[in-house]
Amino acid sequence: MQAPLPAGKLRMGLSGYSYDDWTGIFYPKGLAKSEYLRYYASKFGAVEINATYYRIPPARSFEAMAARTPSGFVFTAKANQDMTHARSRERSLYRGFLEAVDPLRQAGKFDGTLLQFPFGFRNEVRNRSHLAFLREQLPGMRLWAEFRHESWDRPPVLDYLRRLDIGYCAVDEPPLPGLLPPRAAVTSDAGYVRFHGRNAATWWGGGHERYDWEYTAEELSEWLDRIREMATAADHTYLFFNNCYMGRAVKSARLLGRLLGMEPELDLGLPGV
Amino acid sequence: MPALVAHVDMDAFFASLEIRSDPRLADRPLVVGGGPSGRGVVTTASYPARRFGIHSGMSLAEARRRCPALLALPVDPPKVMHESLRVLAVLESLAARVEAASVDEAYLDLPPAVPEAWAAVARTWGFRIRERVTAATGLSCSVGLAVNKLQAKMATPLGKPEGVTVLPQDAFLATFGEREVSVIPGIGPRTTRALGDLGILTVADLARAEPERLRTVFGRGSSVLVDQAGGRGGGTVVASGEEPPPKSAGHETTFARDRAEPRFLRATLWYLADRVARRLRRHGFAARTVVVRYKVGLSRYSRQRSLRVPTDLPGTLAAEGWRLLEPARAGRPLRLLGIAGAGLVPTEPQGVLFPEEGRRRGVLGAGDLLRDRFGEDALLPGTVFLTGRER
Repeated sequence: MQAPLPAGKLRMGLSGYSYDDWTGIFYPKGLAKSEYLRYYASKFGAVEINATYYRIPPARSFEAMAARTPSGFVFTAKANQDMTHARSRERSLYRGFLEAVDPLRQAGKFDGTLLQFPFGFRNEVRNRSHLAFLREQLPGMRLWAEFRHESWDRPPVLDYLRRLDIGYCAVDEPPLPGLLPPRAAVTSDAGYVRFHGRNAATWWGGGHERYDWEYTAEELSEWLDRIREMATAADHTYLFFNNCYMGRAVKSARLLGRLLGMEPELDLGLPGV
Repeated sequence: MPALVAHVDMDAFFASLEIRSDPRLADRPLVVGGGPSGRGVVTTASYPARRFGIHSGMSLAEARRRCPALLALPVDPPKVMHESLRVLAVLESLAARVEAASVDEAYLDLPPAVPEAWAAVARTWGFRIRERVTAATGLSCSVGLAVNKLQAKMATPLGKPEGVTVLPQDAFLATFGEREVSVIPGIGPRTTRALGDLGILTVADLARAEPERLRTVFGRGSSVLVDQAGGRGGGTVVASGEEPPPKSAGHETTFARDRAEPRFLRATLWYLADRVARRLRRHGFAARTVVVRYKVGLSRYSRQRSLRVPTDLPGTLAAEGWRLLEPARAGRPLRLLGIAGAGLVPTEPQGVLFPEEGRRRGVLGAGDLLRDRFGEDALLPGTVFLTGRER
């Protein structure tokens, strides 16, 4: 039995909190949608906002989110697809993003932005320069880069990220050819892990089913040493579950919490989960 | 790859500590400094006090004249030390190399940033440093970020208090060119006057100055001046435990009133010699040379002699010191008295065996920095642990 990590080193949460198929699984039946976040924040200390990937909401939406969560609760947000997939150089896009999340920052509840790049974003000169451009456009903000393509799995990439002060996002995803393998690395002051599930059959099909995966204790145990390693190197490390199909992420988070010995802090109060 | 250095300066450190203990003081003009003597100087002025034109280094008497309602609190050394080390620990968790420049100032050597994103990376670091220091101590700080120590230090005051100031690469002259030369750290009133006599008033004037012209007045120091005016300099960030071995160790004290009694002076010398000796032993050095320093009125004097056998014993230091002092002062009353051991030689094998040891040395060094800050007028033993630098 290893010594438990110091409190506050790990922040566990889910990728998004507003899913209709979580009713009756995570959210009590009859709970109004407007109450989801408040309820979520009573169970988890962090959430990764995915909605920003599709559309940058107005600042007042974030203002409301800040108001619905207790102090100490933190948000990270996924960068808009125009930033990471379309590689837009439109400065107003970035200004708009900074303005939108500002209420969360003001409330001390915003901890950074996840840059999730598509499989087609390979380790090439123009893409590395896009990383530098993103850093330049989003100054003063924690950033993490999540790559899909295995060409980024090279030690010099980690050094490059360090010199951009961009964190490395470790991933658990299906062991498919070309995809980034699981690797523990910390390149800024905060670590980040995303668990996507390992559903190889549905991965390339896209859609909700991609994230239909129920982690076993054995699968998650592969991460224990990696997580400890990251938590030691970083000030704090996020563990986000994205296998959101039918609330599976909740169950996985609870399982990993138990394996890490952080169960008392993560009482999800779920019957049969 | 352009380097990235951060300079962290705690905002009104000594005063902020007092305000943290008693928040009711927040809006009052407040200074910390001086001693029971009443001869003291201001170590830190709170921001409300600064509105009266009060600043550190000013005499307490002058400060009181400017603001009769001024609250003056004495320095609380243990509290300051403790807090200073806490700040240092936070900074050390952020960068591999941290140099404590004084009790409330430090430099961080940060990973060199990718050139296209240099300024944004610098800003991110600045915010992070400020956030961490404040979260851990409840105190605010300002951060300057630039390509070297000199520029980082000069950037910090531009954002005070609570500011994060990034001085972009190649922006030095555009930012400071029109400012007076005295904006450069280390260029004091005398140098400023001497430069003024040569018609050199601004940083840009100095950067353009003919080295030949400067050399007649400043000798070998002139190239340093021109370098600084071009934003070059400050040296490398030296982490605690990595400092070059000390060249001398000394203690001195300023008296509340001038003193001439031999018994008193001799006892003081013993007291100071004992502290010097303890420090020498703690660091594993013996002194080959004994130096006494004293002030008569405002003039400073020093006398020194070499020993046949290097010593780390207080008795020897004090006896040699007294032998130097007594004839030299010729009965005149002293305002300040100090003794130092110089020409240090190691008494034990050198080198840090354990990392812990290096860290401990670093901590001791931080204590010395604190004492440096008290200055001569605090009536507390002022400690110097010179590393070959001009104080």
